[in-house]
Amino acid sequence: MKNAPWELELIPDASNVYRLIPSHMVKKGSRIPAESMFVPDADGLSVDWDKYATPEESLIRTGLTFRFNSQEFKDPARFMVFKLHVGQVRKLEGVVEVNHTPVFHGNPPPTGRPNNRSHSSVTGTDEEVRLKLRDAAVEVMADIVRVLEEVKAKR
Amino acid sequence: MSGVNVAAGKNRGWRGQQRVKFFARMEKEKQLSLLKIEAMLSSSGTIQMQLEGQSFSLPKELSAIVQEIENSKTILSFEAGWDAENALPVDKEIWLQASGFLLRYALRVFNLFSLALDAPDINPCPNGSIDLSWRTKSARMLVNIRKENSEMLAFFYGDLYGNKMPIKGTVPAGTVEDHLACWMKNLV
Repeated sequence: MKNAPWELELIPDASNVYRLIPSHMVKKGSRIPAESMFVPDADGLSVDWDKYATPEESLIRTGLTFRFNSQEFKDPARFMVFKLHVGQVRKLEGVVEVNHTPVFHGNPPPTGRPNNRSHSSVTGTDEEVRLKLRDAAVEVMADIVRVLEEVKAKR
Repeated sequence: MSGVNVAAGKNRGWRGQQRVKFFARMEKEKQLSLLKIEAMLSSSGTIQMQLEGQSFSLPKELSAIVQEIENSKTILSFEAGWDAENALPVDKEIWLQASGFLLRYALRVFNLFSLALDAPDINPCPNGSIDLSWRTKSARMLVNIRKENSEMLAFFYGDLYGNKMPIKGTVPAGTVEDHLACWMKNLV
């Protein structure tokens, strides 16, 4: 990853972050995500900061990203967007931080790997935190028609 | 995923990737077909369950848990990248441990208190581990079964909502600890 042209910023407690979760990992009929979707990778739990992303923009970016180990684009219609309040997340025992960690691949970015100024990371999640993140996550409705139109135009 | 290297498709073309995916799928289907789970209701009203060498004799009150375990078998067909990111497939050994853990604790709670645990959600995690997740009227709990340093462990957290009476820790996945079983009576 190249050096991002953006300053790293402190995320205020009043902010929200968005987490995209595959629809098949949301319990049918309940619209509640599985705790397993809050397992972090080596860099933490990836989220998008609402200062630089709307739910629609997060989904559009997903639609412009290749699936793992593939040249196929992800289908944004197969994701749901959940909102987490940063102040609430920071109060959870075990959470180390919610940090701004923008992703920059170049200008223009390579196909399938879009830049993401809103990218942020929640670090320090264990079973207690995952359980509580699941209960704190609130589904956000996105205009999926607009998302699909924009993805189609940008691919 | 013996004999199949999914990561090997990374530097191949589209056809190469499809070929790797095809063989990974075949391998998974083979694993599933070899998986022996047998549950039947005996004349005495108990459920006899065989889980690859492990035998369980369960009261019929635990039939919802047996059903949830049966349903969760589909987890084993998930291929690498099932979350559209870089999720690992769930190994059969982890699934068997998670199922055995659930049955042993459900049985212990039933034997101690004559209470039938609610069936949890059984979910795969991107790191190849398995979550057992409960939300009941009075309590919530998350148990994660995973292998660490070649030992199969259960990491857990539970409370009565609002951080009341929390329980948190780690136990070997293959044993039953009474302090945990006692707390789990809240999951009914």
